[in-house]
Amino acid sequence: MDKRDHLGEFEQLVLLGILRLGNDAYGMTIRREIETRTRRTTSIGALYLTLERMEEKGLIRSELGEATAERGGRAKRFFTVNPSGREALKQSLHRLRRMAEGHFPVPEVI
Amino acid sequence: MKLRLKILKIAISVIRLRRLRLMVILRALDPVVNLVCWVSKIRTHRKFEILISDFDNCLERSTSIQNQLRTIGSLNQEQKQNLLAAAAAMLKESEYLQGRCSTFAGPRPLGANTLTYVLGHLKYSSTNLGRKNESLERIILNAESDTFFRDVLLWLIVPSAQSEELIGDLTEEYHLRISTEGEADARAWHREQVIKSVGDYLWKHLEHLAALKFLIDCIRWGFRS
Repeated sequence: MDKRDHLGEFEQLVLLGILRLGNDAYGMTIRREIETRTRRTTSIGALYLTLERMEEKGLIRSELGEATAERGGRAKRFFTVNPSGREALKQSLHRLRRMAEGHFPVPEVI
Repeated sequence: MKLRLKILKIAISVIRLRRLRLMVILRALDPVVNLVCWVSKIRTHRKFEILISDFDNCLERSTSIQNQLRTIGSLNQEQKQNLLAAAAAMLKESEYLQGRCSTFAGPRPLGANTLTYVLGHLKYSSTNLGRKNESLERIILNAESDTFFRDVLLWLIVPSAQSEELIGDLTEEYHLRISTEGEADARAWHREQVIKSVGDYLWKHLEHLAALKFLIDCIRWGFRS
């Protein structure tokens, strides 16, 4: 596996957030999902920087949605995980599980 | 209101400066552009590897869906609908991958590569400038909103590829929080988000400047040696 496909902790959280949200994965919902589930305060700027970095790596793709009045007439950008992103996330979580084996009970997630 | 108009005048000056930057790019030196083309060829090879891997994954899953479609008659209504939805999603994904293929082309003369890169960058810059102007117009139309100053700050700092969506997300959640937590808490939340986001983007700009300075120092050291 290429060194550039190694994921940081926040990148893992973002990818998992996009997978959980499915068709409704855009900036606001991803941020709220991470904040609700991990109780970790996340700034929208840090999230978009991470999303941009992962899109450049080819791990995710994005497409523009419809503009809405509550967003001041601005469109949403929906994100989807690519197969290479799923594979990178899978490898990353397996590595974590192998390191934690014997010390912490980490269930098989994939 | 006078302060808001002053801020808008400053924002318009920023647009003019960006146009000037665009003209400087037009006069970019050939050796610099050739170097970038050479580096981009290495990145293109890596992107090509990722695309091949994505195609292999897509092919594997589409083969599985095709096998299931052969036995669609034996499935119940819900299973049929799920299978058809999966097939439609697969079709969309393959169209996306085919679109990505268009970014790769056969070998071309060095001059053609340089021209393509410069034209591509100009097109990207002018598209972003257009988006930046549209974003400013939307902020001007909402000059009376509570988040006006913070929206302008974000518009200035955040790159145009992301600023529209980022400001839109903050605005949407701000209105949501007004209804659930009250105006004061929503405003405090919005302020905190803007400060943190501006800090993140300024840090990224500083990292780029530091990397550029390091590169220049290396080149200077190379010439001195």
